[in-house]
Amino acid sequence: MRPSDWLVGIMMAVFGLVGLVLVAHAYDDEMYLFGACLAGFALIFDYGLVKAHYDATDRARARADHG
Amino acid sequence: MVEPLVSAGRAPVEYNEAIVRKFIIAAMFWAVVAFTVGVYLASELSWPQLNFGLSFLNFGRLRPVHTSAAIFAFGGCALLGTSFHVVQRTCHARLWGGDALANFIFWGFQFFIVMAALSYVMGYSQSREYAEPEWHLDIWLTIVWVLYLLVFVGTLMKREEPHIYVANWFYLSFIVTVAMLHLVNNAALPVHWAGTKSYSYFSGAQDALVQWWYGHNAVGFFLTAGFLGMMYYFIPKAANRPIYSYRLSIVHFWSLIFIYIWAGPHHLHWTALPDWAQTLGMAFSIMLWMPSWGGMINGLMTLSGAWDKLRTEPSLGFSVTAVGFYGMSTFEGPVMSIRDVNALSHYTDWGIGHVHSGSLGWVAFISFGAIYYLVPVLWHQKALYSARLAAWHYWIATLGIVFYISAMWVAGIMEGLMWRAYDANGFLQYSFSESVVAVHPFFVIRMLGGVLFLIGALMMVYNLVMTARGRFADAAASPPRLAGGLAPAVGD
Amino acid sequence: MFIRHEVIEKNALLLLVLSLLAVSIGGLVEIVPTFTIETTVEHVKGVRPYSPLELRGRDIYVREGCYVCHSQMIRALRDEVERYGHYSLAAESMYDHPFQWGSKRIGPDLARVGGKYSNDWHYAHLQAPRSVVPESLMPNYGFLAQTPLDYADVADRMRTNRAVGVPYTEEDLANATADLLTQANPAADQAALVARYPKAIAASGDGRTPTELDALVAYLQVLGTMVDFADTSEEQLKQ
Repeated sequence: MRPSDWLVGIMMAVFGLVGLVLVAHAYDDEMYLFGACLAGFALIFDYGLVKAHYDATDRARARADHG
Repeated sequence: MVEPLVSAGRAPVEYNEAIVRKFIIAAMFWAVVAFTVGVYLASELSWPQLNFGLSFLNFGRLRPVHTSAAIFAFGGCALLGTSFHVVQRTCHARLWGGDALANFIFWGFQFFIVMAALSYVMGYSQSREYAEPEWHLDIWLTIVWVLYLLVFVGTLMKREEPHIYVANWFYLSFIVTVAMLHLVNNAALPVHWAGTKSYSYFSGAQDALVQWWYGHNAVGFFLTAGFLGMMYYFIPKAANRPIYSYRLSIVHFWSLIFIYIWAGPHHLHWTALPDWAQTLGMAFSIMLWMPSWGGMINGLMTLSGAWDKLRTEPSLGFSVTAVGFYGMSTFEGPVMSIRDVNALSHYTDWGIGHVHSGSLGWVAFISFGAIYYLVPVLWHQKALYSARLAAWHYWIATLGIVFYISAMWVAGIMEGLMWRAYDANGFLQYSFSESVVAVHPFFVIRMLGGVLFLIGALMMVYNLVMTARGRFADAAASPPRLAGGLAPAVGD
Repeated sequence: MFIRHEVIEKNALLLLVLSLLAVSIGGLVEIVPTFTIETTVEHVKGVRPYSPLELRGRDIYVREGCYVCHSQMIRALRDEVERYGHYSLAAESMYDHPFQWGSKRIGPDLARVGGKYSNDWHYAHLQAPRSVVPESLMPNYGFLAQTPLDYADVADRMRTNRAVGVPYTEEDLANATADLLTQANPAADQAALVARYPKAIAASGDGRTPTELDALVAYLQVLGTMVDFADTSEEQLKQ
């Protein structure tokens, strides 16, 4: 994984936490929804990063095996 | 300056095409959403029962969904996608910042669009035209936008071409100016740090000026400068000719961005905004005519000697017609900014017609042209699925625009004249509701124009999906890229 | 000249900075003076902050996006003045965060709708516009009558307005909830409220639970009524 992937991953984790804090303190429905969606978005995005990383290593290994 | 359209004799760069593909798919998705909501809103104005008394279907909450979907979702995705394509190709460099960052910009922008649309229908809006999202969404968009600026500038800095191509100047000024406008216009104080409601920092006349400084330059920089970047890349590319005049593009660029920013106050003629500001806005709006037409000439003349390409390249018909509509709208705009014309046209449907000749004729058509060109390139197909279907799209959509804008011209001028008409005794001749009744038929025609435009877009989606899957409808009849063009030939 | 342009074309940061400079000038020249020129907002008497109920009504006006169909800006043109009343002053919206001048009239201008119709007319019209104006294109806002007004944070909202420049006093803030309930209840004694907020009109609530409709009507009824034009000189209207 390149450093830029790490930076984006960490940034998203922080946004996810901000989302959870907003849900916890939400003052109205919209902020509750926004916080929950932000947390969910961050979670899925970071899962996507992890998946992209392992997909890439798998592809590299497959290439090495057949090469 | 050497045209960096062909980069010969250098190591091939693996461009990030996946991100461009994502934005193109999103742009088409949001186009269909924006046009569908638009048709529904036009129907509500024709038959108000369609509001059903439901808060989330009411015109007031749904209109920002339409405008945001059209401008920021469809237009925005088309701009971000093409800018990422153009900046990589003309700089001969892969996108700066890595794939994760590019993906964040894509998904972060989609997240913004979905959350904004939800917030409008739920009843959270700043009620600032074209800047309706509340403060928390504004902050989110700022984050996405600043990262977009970083990636764009980063790619420019690592370019292998000595010059920055002219399309990128326009994209860059669009990105940086939109950031400035967004930050100033959305200055607001929330009631509670975890609550949505906020009150704007400015008030009254000053707030009006700030908002229209923003609002008009959302047109000037989001809907003009950015799409001019598109014009400066895709027209030369599809016509396979260099830009008509390099010097004209320099003059065009600097005069356009310098003058546009002054034009906002023409939205506030005869109001409580001080007269000097109105006069400045009017003067610069009229001056703006020149750089606008300079750009139009530069785009159209690029085709001189290559007009035959219109018959063979389906995307060019859209691009060239877009430039024509651009010329028409940028002539109509300065006329409407003259105070005495504005006295008639303001508050009427003439304004709505003007906006749509720009947004359907210019913005949507230049995007359609770019996307028709891009999809075979990005999905590595040798041609479009059907050039003939694209030609049908062209004619149906053009007819839709003609329906739309002529209905709005008639309705708008009729409203303006009825509101100021006096009878023989010196009394106002018409009540307001009489003008509402009078424009009803034209509202229905406008809705039908919108339906045509939507049908065209659906045909385009079908055409693009089939192209991406590698199908060719024209292949059997004639070699790809030679059939179709602008003529929807029947039975050849 | 065009040879030197090469320098800009070869330097992304220079291009960025010069573009930003080019787009900053117009905005600065137009916007800054409206804050420094003292007569941008006319010196007229009568304009006051919105009462708590009017402010909540205004929030609902903003929430529903009424501005997309209704302007609140009567232009200085003969037919507009005859149709809607005295042309709008900058002073009349100086406490409006945000301004709601609008840009399109699908319905008529509302800058001086206050006092033009009775409370009963507004209640009927907002819930079913075509019952009183058959030609109307307006959506039905019946749901406002069914939604109890959330007024728990009205003092916070006023405090936020004060932070952006609306001169609410400590007394206004202390009485916020009481004033709101008073104005929503036509049977209540309005004297203290009207002393704080002259020309405030009581909504026709049921006296128990204020609704969003009550707040909206109270807001509509004060629009354009604050300045007494019989008592205002030409000199005061100069910008």
